[in-house]
Amino acid sequence: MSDVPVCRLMSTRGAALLVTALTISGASGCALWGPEGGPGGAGLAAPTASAEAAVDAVLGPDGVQRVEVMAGDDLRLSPSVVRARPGVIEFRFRNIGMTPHDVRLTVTGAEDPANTAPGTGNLNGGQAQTVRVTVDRAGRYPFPCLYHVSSGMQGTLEVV
Amino acid sequence: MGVASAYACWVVRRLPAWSVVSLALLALIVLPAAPAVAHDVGGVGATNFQTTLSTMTPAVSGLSLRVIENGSRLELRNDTATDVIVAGYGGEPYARVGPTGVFVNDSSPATYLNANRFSTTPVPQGVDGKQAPAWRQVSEEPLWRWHDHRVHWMLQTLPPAVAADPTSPHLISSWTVTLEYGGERLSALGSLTWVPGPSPWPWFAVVLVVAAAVAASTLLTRPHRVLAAATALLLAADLVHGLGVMLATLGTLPQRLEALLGAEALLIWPFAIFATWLLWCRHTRAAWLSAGLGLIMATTLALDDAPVWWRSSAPSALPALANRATVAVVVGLGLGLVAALPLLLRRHSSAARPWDAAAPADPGPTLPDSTAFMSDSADLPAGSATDRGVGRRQVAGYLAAGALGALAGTAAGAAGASPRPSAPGETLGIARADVGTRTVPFHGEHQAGIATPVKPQARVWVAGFDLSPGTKAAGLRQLLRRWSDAAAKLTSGQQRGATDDTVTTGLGPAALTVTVGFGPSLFGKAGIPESARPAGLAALPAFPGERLDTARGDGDLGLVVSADDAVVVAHAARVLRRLAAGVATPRWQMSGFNAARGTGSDTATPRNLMGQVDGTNNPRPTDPDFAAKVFVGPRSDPRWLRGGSYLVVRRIRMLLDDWDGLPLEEQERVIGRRKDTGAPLSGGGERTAADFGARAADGSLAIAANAHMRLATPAFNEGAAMLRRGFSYVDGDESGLLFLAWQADPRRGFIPVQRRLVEADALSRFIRHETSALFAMPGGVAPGGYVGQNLVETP
Repeated sequence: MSDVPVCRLMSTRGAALLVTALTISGASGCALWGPEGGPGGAGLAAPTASAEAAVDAVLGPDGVQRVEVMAGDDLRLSPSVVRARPGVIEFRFRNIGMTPHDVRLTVTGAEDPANTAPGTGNLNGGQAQTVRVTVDRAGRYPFPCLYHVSSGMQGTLEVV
Repeated sequence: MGVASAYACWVVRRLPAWSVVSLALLALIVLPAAPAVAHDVGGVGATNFQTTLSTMTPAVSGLSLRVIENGSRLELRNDTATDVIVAGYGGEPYARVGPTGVFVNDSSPATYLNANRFSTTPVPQGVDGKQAPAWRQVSEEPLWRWHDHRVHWMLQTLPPAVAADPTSPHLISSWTVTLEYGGERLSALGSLTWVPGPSPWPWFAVVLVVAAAVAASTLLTRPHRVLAAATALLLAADLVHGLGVMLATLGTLPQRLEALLGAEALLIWPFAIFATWLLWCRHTRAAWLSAGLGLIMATTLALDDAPVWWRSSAPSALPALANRATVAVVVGLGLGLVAALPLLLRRHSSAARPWDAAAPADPGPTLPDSTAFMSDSADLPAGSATDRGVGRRQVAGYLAAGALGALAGTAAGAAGASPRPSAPGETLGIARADVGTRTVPFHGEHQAGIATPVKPQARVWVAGFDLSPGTKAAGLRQLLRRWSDAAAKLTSGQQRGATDDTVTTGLGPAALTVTVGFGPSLFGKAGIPESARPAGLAALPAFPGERLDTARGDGDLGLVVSADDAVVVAHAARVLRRLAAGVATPRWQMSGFNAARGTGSDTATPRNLMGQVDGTNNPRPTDPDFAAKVFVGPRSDPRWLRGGSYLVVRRIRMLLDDWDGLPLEEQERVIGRRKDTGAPLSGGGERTAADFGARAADGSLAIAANAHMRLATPAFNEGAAMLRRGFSYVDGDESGLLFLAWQADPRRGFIPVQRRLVEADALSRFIRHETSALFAMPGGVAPGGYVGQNLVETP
């Protein structure tokens, strides 16, 4: 998740204009027109890296599978795909940015089977929270950030 | 031109020369220190992200929710006597809006997160929405506006799908905001989409023309008043632009005034008025001041607001076109004033040494003298032609006037009533004789009859052919060669040297087009391997509720013959049918019609037999993504289909007795448009973009949730778009629409749209899809070649 958007020049016309604009302003890089880019698509951030590889939860001696998931100011969860076997899975959600998040799982809570939507609750910058869940059936279970799901902030628990 | 103004001018002429110049320099040094404030509203400037509220169900009269500030915030107004509660991100109560005002729940994280556009406010420890609500009053009005992060894009990077293909529309997410009203749950459903903006290049041209016109004015003997006018216009355009932003800003008067004035307007505008006054009094050195102002205003506005030229929406109350124009005029005038300065100083050499305070700008005038000076309106007082020839000055004057005239003409044209441009070579406002002589070239990059002519012709004949059993590859090749040769001759009005030529003797080709394509069932026959069939060319899925007549659908080959005259179409259809003898036989044939050319306005959208305009939102050839929507891309597979297009043919019967029995308002509600003007029920004219969140006076959606227009719009179909070229048909008591839709891929065109329509379309009651066919129409034909050559000659 360390991809820094790279400026892309989509056409020579766009490039010429961008250069002119940069000269006038003394500004630099993509910052000039923001993420949506300049005329003719100049300065648009290149598509970021493709889908991330799944990370396996690690089975501990107590039979609990554990995984740590970072939530950042880039509004992404890392890893965004967690793979585990049926059983108890312990998530450690760590907010490594400044923006608050609230990650919610769509499975059953390990401590309280009546809790069908366990989650971190509000997680301010710098905070961490542990969430234990029980999954007894294979499948894909999304875990979205309730605040930022419209911006694509969502992870997936793959139980195989 | 009273004595007072003459006196005012006399006063400025007495000003020491250095004072004006140093004022200009001071302005240049001091003003940029004020940072440029981007013209944004609610934290959002011009953007391609678009938040749409589709529907709130069930609708409650007196309760209205809308998207404001380009999707930055939602606005809820509750004029009823009952409280409405907005749910936060975890479903907890967040805000309560009702007759006693607005209360927010301090126990809800949303109260803190929604404070700004990027939710950077930390939530106090212990607040997780699970505690009992702690209501705190924030307003006495039953109106609340908040940054709801479910409805907008929060990142400083683009969604991956958008970054991969930013010139196409995308559906980024569908959102739901839940409200509770008197124990009832209301769901507001909407979407966040990416809508690509227009091309900015025409606006760059406007900037150049305006700048050149201002600069060229210095070739006049006395350009001062032109420059004064330019400075005044600069100020006016900047003011209009700022007013647009101010009116789009919702809030208190001081907040709105701040939006208008920004950080520097109050500093700059007085200078602009002063510069105008000095220039009007023919004070040459004031050009320094106007150039400095021009530089500041052009660069700050270009840096802040140039994106309005190439993004689809901007936070301004002005129409998008007017908003873009104000920015172009400010930038153009500003740069023009900068360019005018050296030109002006060169011609008025005494002013070229502004630091020489002893050199008077003009001979010291007496009061009557300057009155006489003021009274001329022409720029060329007789006898003042000294060093340069009059001819050259006149040319310069005409140039400047011409450029400004062209600009005004463009603006007037753009604002005028005929926004649809015609394709090159097409005439608007035809005479009758034009109808027959018009030709549409058969050869070209794409087959004719898809995007050419721009407006569908008056008559069509569509047919599906089946190959005769046992047809070999050579037979199919010969047929395609014969059809192509005949089409090339017929469409250009040449004789074929056959006895039936006389059918059209004396008639022109009348814009005849012949378009040929292949159905899914062709593959596996006549030497065409099944593997050559593109994935998009699979039989259309069955849609719920449809009962199709298969005998009148599908086919191995498809033919569309269209022209502005029935005889021309009938003749061409018969010639092509005869040429197919022995190789292919017609499986089905249908004829259709539109209003004849010359009967009505050539630019008006055609109407169908329901009396409704049909095709308003069609992609237009001038759209930057027109080709991407309609034609198969030049790098797509299979190769033989590059530059081609998929044609969906549906015979859609209209149940006109039921329809005509419906009151007008009901009919309009079914479609979502006014019947007379074709305007969306959310207001405006036929081509005004529909506001799907707009509400009628009674609180219901202006464009109903099941209105045909809402369900068919590309924004709600992941950008799915097709070019519809419909024709009407009447067959005894049966009548309806021959629906012909062209698209780059039916899986991103007809299929998703039709799926959505059959689910909910209010129009479904009044129509029946009776027949269906899908053809892949290959790319265009080069002279000497024939249609589908790349398919049938590929080993």
